[in-house]
Amino acid sequence: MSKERIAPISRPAVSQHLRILVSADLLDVRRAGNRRFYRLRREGLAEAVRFVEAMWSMPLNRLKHVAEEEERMREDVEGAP
Amino acid sequence: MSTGGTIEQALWIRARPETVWRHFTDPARLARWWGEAEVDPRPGGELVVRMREGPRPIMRGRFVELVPHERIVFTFGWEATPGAPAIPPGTSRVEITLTPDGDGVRLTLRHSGLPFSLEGETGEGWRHMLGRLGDEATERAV
Repeated sequence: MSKERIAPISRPAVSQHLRILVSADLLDVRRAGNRRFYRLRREGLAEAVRFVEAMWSMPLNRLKHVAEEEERMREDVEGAP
Repeated sequence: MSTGGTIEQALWIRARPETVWRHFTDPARLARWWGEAEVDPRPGGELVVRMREGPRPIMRGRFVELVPHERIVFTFGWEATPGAPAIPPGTSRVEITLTPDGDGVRLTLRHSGLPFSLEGETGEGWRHMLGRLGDEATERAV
């Protein structure tokens, strides 16, 4: 990829992005002197997918519960269905 | 980002489609299952949810499409949160489809455009993006 296509991004911004990716377990960091080497963790990708799966399955189960509860209350009031 | 990981989940709810629908457009009902919410349910309107799960990220999105009682589409991202994978606002998309099924409704959730997946291709996409970050960091360091 040509360098001209890379959007300007400051060093602190790069460091912040890398920190976030490390804290999300998507990158491993290794220090050598004053340099840091980053490695993509493939297992981190699987964890990220599982994370988002869980971030949906838990609230969706609550949605099922509260929507069914509201429906039952309506049926009690209106004598439906 | 049009390519990327996709997550799909489906569940059956014993309720009418309109009852389930209201749980996506009414802040009081959103709070009962997803989190405290600010919601402006029209195309382009904002959806902000303080999620209860895990590291409690704040989800920021915008409605793209609303077909009452049938389909709802919004962009999905969250503010950078320690302990949560990076999904910047505007980068991914959630499609909710409600289909009448027996005396209930089948809800299908499709979350696409995620910046990670188990598929090799998107892994490469990540590697590419990280490579760019690395190049940029090196150039600035010189």
